[in-house]
Amino acid sequence: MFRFEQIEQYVSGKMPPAERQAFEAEMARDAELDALVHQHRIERIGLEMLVEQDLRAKMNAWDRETELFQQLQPKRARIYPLNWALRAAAVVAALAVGYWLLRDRLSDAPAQPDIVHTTPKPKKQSPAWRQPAKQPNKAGESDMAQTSLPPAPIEEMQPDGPAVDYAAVADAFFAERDFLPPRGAKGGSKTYLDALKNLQEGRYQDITNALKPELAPAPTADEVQQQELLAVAYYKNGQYADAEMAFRRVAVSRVQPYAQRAEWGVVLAILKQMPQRQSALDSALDVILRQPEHLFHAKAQQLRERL
Amino acid sequence: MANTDWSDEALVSGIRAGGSAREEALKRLYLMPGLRETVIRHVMANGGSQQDAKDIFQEALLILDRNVREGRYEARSALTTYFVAIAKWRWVTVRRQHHRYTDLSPSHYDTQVESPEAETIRTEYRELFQEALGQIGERCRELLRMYQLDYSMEEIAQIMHYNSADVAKKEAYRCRMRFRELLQNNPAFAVLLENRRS
Repeated sequence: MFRFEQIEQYVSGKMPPAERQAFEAEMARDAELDALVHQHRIERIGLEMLVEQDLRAKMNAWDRETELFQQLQPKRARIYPLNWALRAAAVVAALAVGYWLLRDRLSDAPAQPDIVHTTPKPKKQSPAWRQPAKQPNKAGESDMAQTSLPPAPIEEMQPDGPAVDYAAVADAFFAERDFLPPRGAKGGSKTYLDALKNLQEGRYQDITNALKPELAPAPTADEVQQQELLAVAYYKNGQYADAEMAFRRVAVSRVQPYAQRAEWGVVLAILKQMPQRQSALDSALDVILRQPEHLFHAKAQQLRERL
Repeated sequence: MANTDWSDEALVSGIRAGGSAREEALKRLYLMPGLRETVIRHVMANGGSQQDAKDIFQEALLILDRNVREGRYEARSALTTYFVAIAKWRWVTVRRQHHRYTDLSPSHYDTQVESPEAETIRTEYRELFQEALGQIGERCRELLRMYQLDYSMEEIAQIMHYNSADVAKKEAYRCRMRFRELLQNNPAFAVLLENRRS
């Protein structure tokens, strides 16, 4: 542990100059120490991803805060014109009602008692706000008085914003054909084809028992394909964390097109684990969105817009 | 108490101090009037989309944060100038990675933003690190994030409810070793170590 702390101090630039010199001299003599320092430095680059993910999540939260603030600003400004519009509409409506009643009274006036209407009297032009009652079947024309006003901003109706049903979104974006060959396909080893049959028949447990959750160094395409199938089986079986890890193994293999498909699989598996995995979702989506030529770039873009 | 005097010195020392001071300073920079617009204008004038511009703006803050913490920012220019230079450099790099033709080169910006080695490792081995980080558990991730941000062991113990700084230190070491072990189990890591040494 002492050596670890010493290396950490050196790599992070916190070692006092005199000690630093001595340490560098030791590194020059000791190749093992030199290699360890090198490894330590690389690990720190990896650990920076934790800081990065956290800051990304914070920036997105700041964006949401700002957007909300900006939405609130015009909303406040709209309140006053809206009040005036409502008052004016109320006055117009009151006048129209008064006029209508007065006209009915006049038509019932005793001066014309002998007039018998055998056919319905042609309707007078109703005030605008009465029209919907006469045309109940016309969709979208429910209330003229209301439609003449600007629609209420969404945030007024749902002050906290709509809750995202991540699982449903994942279901909408998940397509077996993105990961599996069509039914009846013959390509692949016997192990793969057996597992594929099990998957198509919903025997996910058989697949997770038969295939190992690991990938050999420099795997063959068949091994990668099997791992991909295992990931899909985990996913279909509701084991999303396992699915994510299996997809990640395939992605790291860099064997195409499985790796790109797996990057998309990682996104969907994380989506099923939301909302706890926001930063992981952001970074998994970023991996795809950074590559315009990625097989799932368009889908990832659609997903980000949807979220 | 909130800092109302946001000079460059205050921002830099806030970032270096870590914790809520760092967050406040970064938020201040992120929401600084005009800064985002400058970056968006530049990216969009050089072949980028609005989304590219937003990404570059965020990445610039990530890099600035890292560089300030690691002592790479030497205050030779104003912090906002440095920020914009990072964003420009980053956009050049992104365009190059995406094979989009660009007549801009990083040398146009007189700023040593990041070591090429670190940048390559970050880009090429992202998945490798992510896989290992995904397996160390949420608590270890949180602990290592704070450790990386130079929180003291006393602070970590307090935030994560460990009995003492000593326990936090042992836990940090255990998590770090777990991270190392997971990396070492991945053959790609051996390749990375080998490549970087040769």
